[in-house]
Amino acid sequence: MKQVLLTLALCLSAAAQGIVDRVAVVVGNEVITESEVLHEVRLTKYLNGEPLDFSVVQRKAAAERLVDQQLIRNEMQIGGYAMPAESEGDAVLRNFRQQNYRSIPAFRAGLEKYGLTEDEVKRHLLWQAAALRFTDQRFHMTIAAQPAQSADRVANSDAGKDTAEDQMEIWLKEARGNTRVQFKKGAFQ
Amino acid sequence: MAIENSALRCLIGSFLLAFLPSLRSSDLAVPKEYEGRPIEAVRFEPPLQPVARTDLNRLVPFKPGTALHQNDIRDAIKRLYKTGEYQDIEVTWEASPTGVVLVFRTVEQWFVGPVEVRGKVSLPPSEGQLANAARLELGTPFNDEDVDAATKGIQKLMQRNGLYQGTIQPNVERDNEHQQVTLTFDVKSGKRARLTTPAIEGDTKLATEVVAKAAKYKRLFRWKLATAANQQSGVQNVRKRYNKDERLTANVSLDHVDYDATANTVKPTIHADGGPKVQVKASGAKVSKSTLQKYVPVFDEEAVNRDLLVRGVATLRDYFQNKGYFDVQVDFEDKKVTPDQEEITYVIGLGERHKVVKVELAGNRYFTADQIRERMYLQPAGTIRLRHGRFSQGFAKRDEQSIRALYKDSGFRDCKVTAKSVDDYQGKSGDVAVTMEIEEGPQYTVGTVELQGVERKDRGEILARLASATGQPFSENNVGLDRDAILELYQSAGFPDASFDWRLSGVAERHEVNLTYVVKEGEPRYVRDVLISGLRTTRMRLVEPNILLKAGEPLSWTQMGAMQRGLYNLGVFDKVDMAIQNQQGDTESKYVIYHLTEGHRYYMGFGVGAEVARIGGAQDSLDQPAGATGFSPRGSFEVSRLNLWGLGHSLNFKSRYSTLNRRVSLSYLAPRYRNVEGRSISITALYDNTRDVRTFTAARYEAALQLSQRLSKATTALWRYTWRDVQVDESTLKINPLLIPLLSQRARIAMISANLIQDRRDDPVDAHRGVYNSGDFGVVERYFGGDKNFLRFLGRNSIYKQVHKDIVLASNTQFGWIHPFRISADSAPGQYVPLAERFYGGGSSSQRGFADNQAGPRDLLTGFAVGGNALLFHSTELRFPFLGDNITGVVFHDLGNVYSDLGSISFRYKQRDLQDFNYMVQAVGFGVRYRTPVGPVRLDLAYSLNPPSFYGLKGTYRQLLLNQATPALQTGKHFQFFFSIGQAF
Repeated sequence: MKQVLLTLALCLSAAAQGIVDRVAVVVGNEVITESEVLHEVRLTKYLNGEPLDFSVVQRKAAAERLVDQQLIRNEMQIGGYAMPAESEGDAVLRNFRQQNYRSIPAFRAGLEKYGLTEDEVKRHLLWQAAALRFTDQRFHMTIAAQPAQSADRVANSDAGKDTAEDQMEIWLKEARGNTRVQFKKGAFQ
Repeated sequence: MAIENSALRCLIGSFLLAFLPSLRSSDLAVPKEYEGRPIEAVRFEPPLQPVARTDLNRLVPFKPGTALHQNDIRDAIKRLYKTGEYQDIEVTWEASPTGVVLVFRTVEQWFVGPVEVRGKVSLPPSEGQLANAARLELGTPFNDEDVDAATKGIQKLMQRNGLYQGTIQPNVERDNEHQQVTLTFDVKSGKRARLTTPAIEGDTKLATEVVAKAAKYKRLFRWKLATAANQQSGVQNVRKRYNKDERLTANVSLDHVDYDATANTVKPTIHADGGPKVQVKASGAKVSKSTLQKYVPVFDEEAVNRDLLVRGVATLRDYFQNKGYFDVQVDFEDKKVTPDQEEITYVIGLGERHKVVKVELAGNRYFTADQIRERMYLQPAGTIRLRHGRFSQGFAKRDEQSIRALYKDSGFRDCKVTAKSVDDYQGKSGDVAVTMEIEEGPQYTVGTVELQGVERKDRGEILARLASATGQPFSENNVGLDRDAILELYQSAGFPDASFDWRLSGVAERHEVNLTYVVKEGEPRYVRDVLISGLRTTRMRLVEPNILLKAGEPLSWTQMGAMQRGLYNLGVFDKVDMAIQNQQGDTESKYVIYHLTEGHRYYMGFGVGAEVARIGGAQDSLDQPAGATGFSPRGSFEVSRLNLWGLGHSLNFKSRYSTLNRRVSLSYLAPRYRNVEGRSISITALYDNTRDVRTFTAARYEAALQLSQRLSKATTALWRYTWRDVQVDESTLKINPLLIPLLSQRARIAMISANLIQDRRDDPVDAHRGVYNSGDFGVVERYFGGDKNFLRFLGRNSIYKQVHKDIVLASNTQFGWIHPFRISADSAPGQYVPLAERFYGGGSSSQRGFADNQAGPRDLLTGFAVGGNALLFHSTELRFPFLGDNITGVVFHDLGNVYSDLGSISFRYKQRDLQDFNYMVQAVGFGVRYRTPVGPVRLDLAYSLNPPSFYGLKGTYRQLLLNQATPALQTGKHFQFFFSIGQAF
């Protein structure tokens, strides 16, 4: 019996296999892998204080966010926008921790619950800061540079949306139109 | 028991690990299962990967024994995808006795290869336009769904051209070795639809029937074909109709079209908003309607708004200032006369008319006045052109800017230029003097030049070759030149991603700038292979010498461009598409793709024309031996078979028929003989029947073999063997009847000749500077297959010199000599050379004091030209601007003549007697040239100072033979005119 069980265990162990990672979304020449999508779900749920949910809807939503992030990253690279310094990350993380957790052990417990590390959260917060700065620099400047428009034109066009966020939304729509974005079926079943 | 328990746990664990993924919403394995376990091996599926092994090792650097981490796998997937060679990548792990085995499952990416359209394609659109409509770019990634999009694109273009019944059948062929797909679209155009009465919508202002009719979609009997061009021309016609009705703001567009499949017709819907009538007029000065249309942009832009009206003010002001009204005041008034009518009046106050008597430069030290004037629009008044000079505020501003730019280019960064005009200059009312006051300021020089990021061995050489060098004037233009030179160097060496940036730091007090050039070399790229496609009839051996890139060599854009030019220069391809497969992909070696579209193999051409010159006079009349004004219509037909044998050779049949000349020829041309660039061989056979020398009509059968070799860009050498049979029709010979038997004898000429041509003109059609030399030396020998012996030389030298900005001094000298040798004792040396082989001259391109071919010796009885054995002509021309920009004037002096022989050449001005033709005839004249795209159209009027007088006859050819013609004294005309295309030389 002992031998049979051992053999069976070894056989099953040897047959153990699985997918480590794969392409989930293609964004131009870049890809977003499925593990990144899952990571994004974790991060979002953690930051929003919501329970983990890896349903297709949630994964698709996370992938869409990652596509936007990739487009912004590409634009930042082309435009030579600077990333915030690493040291800024520590301060941002400290603020986040102080605002959301009473103690460091509570913070760490939270991270463990969502399968995240302190460094991953820090990098995400740093990226959020960079994206915000980019939006501010890129689109506040655009708005300032726009000439006065007639009431008719403003009312009838997207230009009527004049906050940086609105401009960002319009830009993202355009950028998506100009970039090949392909969601791989296998990753969202 | 402990063992049993542990085995059980292991079994349950293994079971859970194996089936857990199916319980989760994602298929990914739980990282805990494999994270940190040693990698035993890495396997690829399929084993044959599109990326080279070296690249693969760089991109997937997992060595046996290293720990597996999901993050590393993620990065590897990203790196692999960045190569552009994959469509999909999935990495799985498999447990193995000593760790895990990683399996990379990949789906390779395909790339667009040749895209061709075949079948019955009726124009428009052309096959090329249809292929473009597929929007598949050579070398870019290809996905299966692209075929549908491409088919739809082609269908859309066909439908836009009325081809609704057409069918498209896409075929995709895959080339596994090169991951390339060849797409062929078999197209059947079907019957093209016709247009029908358009529907009109909008606030048309005019009756819709009027608008519909204005589209002119119907010809006299039938509706026009529904091509895109016809549809758009209808819209244009409607727009014109509105313009005619002075509705300048009319908005007309083709809204959509409806296709009726049963009738195969297309009904366009035109949206037309008429808008109000807008009348544009001028008050205060006389301005024609056409001038207003030219200078007020509302007509061109088909819109009326304040910006355009203000632009009209500026352009009208420039127009009048250019005419000498420098103080002109222009403004406009916009008035609504009725709700449907607007009136725009340009109110013009001309003021006094001026003349620019002086344009002066002050303060310039670094540049000479001439160097600056070359760039200026402002001009003082001239005698023929610009009689009031050229001045306007706009021109003055432009001149200020261009002079400033000139100084800035030489380091005068603070240079200031101001145009100042003085009215009533030197007390003379209306005279204006303009002074360009130049404050040069300090000249900035280059302090140091630092080159960062250049790792090449020839760094020193690059530095030495830079346009910006220490101590030299600083110029941004030079920085641009340096950037181009450095980038070209890198791109030629296979660094396509090299980039250049520059920084400047200044030392203000020393007027010195330090330059830092920052170069990012990028990764080197190499040629994986060169893929050529599209050769249907052309042989590879024609193309091969132009393949300048080889596998393993640096991927050089410069070489790729040179290769494309070389392929175009073969003259057999209409289109040479060039691309790098997967250009953006991060792979070291790449395929370079050339898709060649062969040109048509047949060419056919027809032409009609006419010649008006002193070529006339009745054929059998002896009255005007020097020619009378005549008209000769002509027609031509040509057919060629191109790219013969797939080697770029051609066979050409040409025929020409006119009242003066009938000719048919067949020629075979083999360019790049034995693959030597610039070497060609041609074989020609021709029959020619000509009477362009009025004395006789000659028939000629000729065969020639010619080898030509371009020795340098400017120099070409030709070697030729010619055999011809020349027969003068004795019934046309208007010479002394006693000489007819001798001079009408058939002659066989066999000649070996060599010709050297050196052409250093800036523009062969209308040269402004340079030199043209040619020398043609031939030996006519019985041994070569003929029955005559003589040497023949004809040389030409033309020099063109720009003596002023627009004035060209040109001169042309021609010298020719025929020397008979080994002639039999009973032959008269003067009559040995057959009539048709002698030199003839005079006319539009040699000596304008004569009508065409009327120079030189004449028959002493009839006075008709009989040619000579030597010629010497010299022409001098002064070419200058005359009227506007397109008409130039020429004054010329021609001298020279055709002489009996070399020893008879004389510079004597006067004719000794009526039998003396060996003197130098001189002519002066004036001509105009009108510039056209095919070269200048020329009209020359010449006055011969000393035309020959000679004996002749009055009567007919029959009377000549019967000795009944009346002797008469003939004198060459003093005036000659010539009308042709191209400069005289």
